[in-house]
Amino acid sequence: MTKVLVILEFAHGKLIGVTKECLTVVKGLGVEAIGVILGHNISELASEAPKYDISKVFKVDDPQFEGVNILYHTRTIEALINQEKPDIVIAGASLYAQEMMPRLASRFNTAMFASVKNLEIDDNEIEAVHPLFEEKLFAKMEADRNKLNFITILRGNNPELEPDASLTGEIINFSPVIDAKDKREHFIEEKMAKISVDITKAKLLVSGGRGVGTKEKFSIIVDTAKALGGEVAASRAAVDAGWVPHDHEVGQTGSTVTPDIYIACGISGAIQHLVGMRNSKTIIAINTDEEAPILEIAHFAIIGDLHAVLPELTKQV
Amino acid sequence: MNVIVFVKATIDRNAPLDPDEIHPGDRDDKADVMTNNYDKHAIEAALRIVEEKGEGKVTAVCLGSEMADKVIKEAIAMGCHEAIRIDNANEKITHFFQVAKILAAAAKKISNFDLLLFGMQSYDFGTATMAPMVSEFLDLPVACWVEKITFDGGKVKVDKVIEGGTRTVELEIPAVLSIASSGDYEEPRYTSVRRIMLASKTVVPIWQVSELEVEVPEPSVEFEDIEVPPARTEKCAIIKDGDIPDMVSALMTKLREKGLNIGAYK
Repeated sequence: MTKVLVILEFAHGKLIGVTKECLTVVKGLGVEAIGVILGHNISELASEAPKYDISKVFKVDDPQFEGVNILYHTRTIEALINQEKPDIVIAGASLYAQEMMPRLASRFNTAMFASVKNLEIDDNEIEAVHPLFEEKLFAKMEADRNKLNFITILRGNNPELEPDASLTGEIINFSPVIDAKDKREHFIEEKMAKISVDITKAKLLVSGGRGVGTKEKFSIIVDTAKALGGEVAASRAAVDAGWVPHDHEVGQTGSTVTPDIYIACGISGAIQHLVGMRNSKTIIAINTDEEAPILEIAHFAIIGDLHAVLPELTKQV
Repeated sequence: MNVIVFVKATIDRNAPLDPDEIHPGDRDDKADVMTNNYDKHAIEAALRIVEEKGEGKVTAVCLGSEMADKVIKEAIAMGCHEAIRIDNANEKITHFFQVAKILAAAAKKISNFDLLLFGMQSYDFGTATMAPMVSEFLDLPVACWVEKITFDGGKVKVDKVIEGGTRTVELEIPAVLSIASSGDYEEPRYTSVRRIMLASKTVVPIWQVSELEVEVPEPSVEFEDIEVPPARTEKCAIIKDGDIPDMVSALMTKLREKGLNIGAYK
């Protein structure tokens, strides 16, 4: 039976969304799934993992893994691969996995399936689809299934796997493997933004981007969201500019959302934003630029100044 | 401090896309080719590091055909001190794994470097794999999505983007970094007329892959068909060229026609 090693990534004491999306892909393959989780004081987290249909969870629980050190992770997972001999090593394409997996695959001198949407296995081959040019084209990739393959699954293409409390599995301690030269990387600190809202639950989101203009003007997004009974969302540009806290961010480094209605205001639609919101049921764009990429996925668009359109929208609703 | 910055030529954002012509070398109009936009942030970072240190140089390296000359000239016009094009016209390169092997070998040949810089991803393939792969082939530490760089003796301290925050790590030099499009290097500099003139007169050395003493194996993963996604069945309903109240009212009508009620959430 094909054996798949899943890299289990977590944040705020929970498996992250893109890992759960990856677990959906793995479950669909009908393979033996084992997992690895690396950190410190992670017993509780590790014990949750079997509920995602993972038969064996290798737990690397060590103070040296309190913070992420890419070289430590690569070396330790390399040792686990050599011990367990999986056919496939897979991870959700988080920023961490996009850094660690190519390094790991290269250590095994292997080309990889990087950032693919899906995965199919038949008797001889592994196949996957990789988007090119910000999803304007798609490339099919293929490899021999009898060789070791490394894969990262892009966010926003598969539902998150729901845990099944009736499933159980083995938790196995695995010791860190660190070489002296891995100490050329030294973890210093992590600064995480506060999480005080959960925009993933909102049915209606009013979302502001760079086009809003200034921090003061961002109040129009907040006011409209309040008036319509929705929640405030934002693109990374608006968060980086300090107009709105990070927990409102939608996209690659923020949340993935699927509300009934997503109103994108002054958001041009960089691919990093689109991956977080394109599965919204109805997308309304308000933008001055008719050529903005957001219009390629929007259902409705008003070409105009959001500062004039939003108050009028509130009035007419 | 000597920095090598790797730049990529890609099909221009405004050029028509053709599944049979996805590489710059497939085209014959130079207008169809651009510098991978993310690489400009890496060039900006490289130039600022050397400017702030007050010594050393920035060498831009590009793997590409003649169509990439424009990209290498733009790197010089932005301020890179030296540039090299590695010719790929005679190579059968099908996977980014092979590209990483070649770029690692090029860095080895240049040899005298402290940092290798990459853009955070490419516009065309967008896999963001190049910095970590090259770092492994050269056995160097790596940090990706870097927004801020400071130095302390033989070490480089970087802030890198993670989901929901930033992580600070310190790496021994030499090291490999990929530069984020946000943060300290968000706004790459413009070229000046004087620099464009200089770049146009600069003769860029061309290296052949065969000179790099690197074995470029057949990749275990192959790219097969490249396809255009099916066109959207439902196009965006665009409302424009009217008074604001009229446009909003047109939107409300269209929403109602689809059975949607934006007022249902109050």
